[in-house]
Amino acid sequence: MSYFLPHLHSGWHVDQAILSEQERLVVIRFGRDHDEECIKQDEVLYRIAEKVVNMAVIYLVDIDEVPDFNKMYELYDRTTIMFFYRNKHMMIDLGTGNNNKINWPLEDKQEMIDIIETIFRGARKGKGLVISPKDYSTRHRY
Amino acid sequence: MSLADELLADLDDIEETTESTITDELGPDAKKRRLELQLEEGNGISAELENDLDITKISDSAQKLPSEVANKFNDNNENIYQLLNSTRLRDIIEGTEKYKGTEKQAITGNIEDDLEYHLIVDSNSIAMEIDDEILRLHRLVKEWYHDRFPELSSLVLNAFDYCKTVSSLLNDLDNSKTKLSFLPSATVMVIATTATTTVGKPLPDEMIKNVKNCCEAIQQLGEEKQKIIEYVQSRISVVAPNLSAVVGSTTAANLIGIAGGLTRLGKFPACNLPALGKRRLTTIGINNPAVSGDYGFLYMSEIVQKTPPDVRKQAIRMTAAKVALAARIDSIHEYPDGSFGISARKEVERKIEKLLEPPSQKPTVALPVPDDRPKRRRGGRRIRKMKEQYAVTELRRLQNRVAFGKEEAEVFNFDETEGLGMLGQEGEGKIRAVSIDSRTKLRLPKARKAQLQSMAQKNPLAASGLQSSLSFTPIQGIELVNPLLQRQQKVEEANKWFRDGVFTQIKKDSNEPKNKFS
Repeated sequence: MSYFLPHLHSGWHVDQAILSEQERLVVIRFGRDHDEECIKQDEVLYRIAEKVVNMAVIYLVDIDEVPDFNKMYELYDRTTIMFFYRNKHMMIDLGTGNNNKINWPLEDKQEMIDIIETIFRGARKGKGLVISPKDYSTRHRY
Repeated sequence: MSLADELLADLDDIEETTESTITDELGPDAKKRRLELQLEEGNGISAELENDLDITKISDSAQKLPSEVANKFNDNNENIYQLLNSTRLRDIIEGTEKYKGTEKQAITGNIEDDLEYHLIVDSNSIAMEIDDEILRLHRLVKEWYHDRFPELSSLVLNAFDYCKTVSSLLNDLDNSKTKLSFLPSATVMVIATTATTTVGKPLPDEMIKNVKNCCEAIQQLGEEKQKIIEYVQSRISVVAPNLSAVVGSTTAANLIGIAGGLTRLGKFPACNLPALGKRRLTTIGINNPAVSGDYGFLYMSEIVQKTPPDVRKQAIRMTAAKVALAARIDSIHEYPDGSFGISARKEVERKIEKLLEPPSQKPTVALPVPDDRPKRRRGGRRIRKMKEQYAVTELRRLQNRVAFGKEEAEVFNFDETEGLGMLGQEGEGKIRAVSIDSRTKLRLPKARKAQLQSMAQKNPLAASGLQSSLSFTPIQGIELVNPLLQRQQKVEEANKWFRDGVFTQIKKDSNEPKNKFS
């Protein structure tokens, strides 16, 4: 877990964060702060938070502390990143089959920046689904 | 060839043959061993060559007394202590004694004309000679005492300490603890333990005497040098106030000494100053690539020594630049209070401090928001027209193809031929004949057209190049007419009858007709 990134401690806080942001993307990491994969992911997010500050705001949510969204967003993975723009959920085609979220720790900073920028561009043009600059399907991984 | 000459020749050959080959004629074993020892030490070669006169004398005496090691140097003790007994050293010491009490007045006029200045320079150079002399004598003592206590030279490295130790021990190695109270206790302990197991044998009395004398000579030389150095340092701040302010009096004295005077030092370019008094440190076991380079007097100066090794090179360069300036200033007696030197020193120190500062950290810059404006249009009517003009037409396409089994037509353009390919060939299965695309026709640009038009308006007389003055008449065949001449004739004819717009027959006299008809 990163102490430098803001945490959202209740469902209401999460709602407000998504609702109140008008110009930027809202990036929320759902997961458990003590989880190893979460720690890795948080480290990456912390490193890029300052760079993407004009495009996105990054929050962390502990799914044990705030279980309100677990069912709705199907938050069963160890770490999940979701994107919102003006109270709308942004989907991204990562090639994994799940377009709703990034559900593995993405440890490359530049890739994370690229994804955020792609979603931001798409969101401003009014798109609901964007295509990731890199294909993360397993056939590339193996 | 005398024996001395032979020995000299041998010394010259030392670099080629590291193993010394002394002929049997030399005889004494001790002599041979002495030379080998010199060779092993290596760095002593040049010093020995400089003092070759000394050596030849020694060798002469060696020939006289071939078997007695102890008596070898009896006759020439004076030659060994040449520098110590020289009149030059005496004179300088007397001079320094004389001037020591007096306060040095500021020098006016040419610095080289000052009496005391030369004494200062001389004493400076002799201080360095004394250094060399001490080195030489120290080696000699080590050699002699080697038979008594071979390990001592590696236990006590400093020349003065070694001599003091040797002169207090001599042949008696017992009770070293009480005798060697001037050494650190750890060293004394090591000496005491080594002395119990040493393979050395007691030396003959004659030899002991020699060793003792030599040690005394070294001590004496050290004292003299100390005196001279103190004198030079006390004077250098008057002679070269700015220079000594930059690098300190010791280094200033050294630099002036080796350059041969203040004016000469001022003539050195700054880049050559670090090389002054250069010495190889690698021979004494310091071989660190980080601190390799010139180890001159500037390197040894306090301002350079106190900087960390990684910026020392830059520190030397900066100091050298200021030293060159200060030397020039001192040689013409500007800034007698040394204020330039002090400010230069401060500047160098400030610059070194700046070099040592950690690099400033850059703050992370946020990425700019991607700017998704619509693209600028490429193309349009003009671009399209241009593309059409240079497009590959049907005609060109046909020209580029060659029909199988048919000869292509050719056209001759001056000196080259051009194949026409399938152009103009029958039986292609094409119903329509190929037409020339009007869009690919050559056109004059608008601007050029306008230019031509304006030229035509300005100069209407300019005839077209296609007009001719040849006219064909049915009667006489070809007649060449000059249009200008024709025009002139017409004018003449007209003038004949219609000059001034009236008939020329009627005289234009206003009074006459009046009278005639009235």
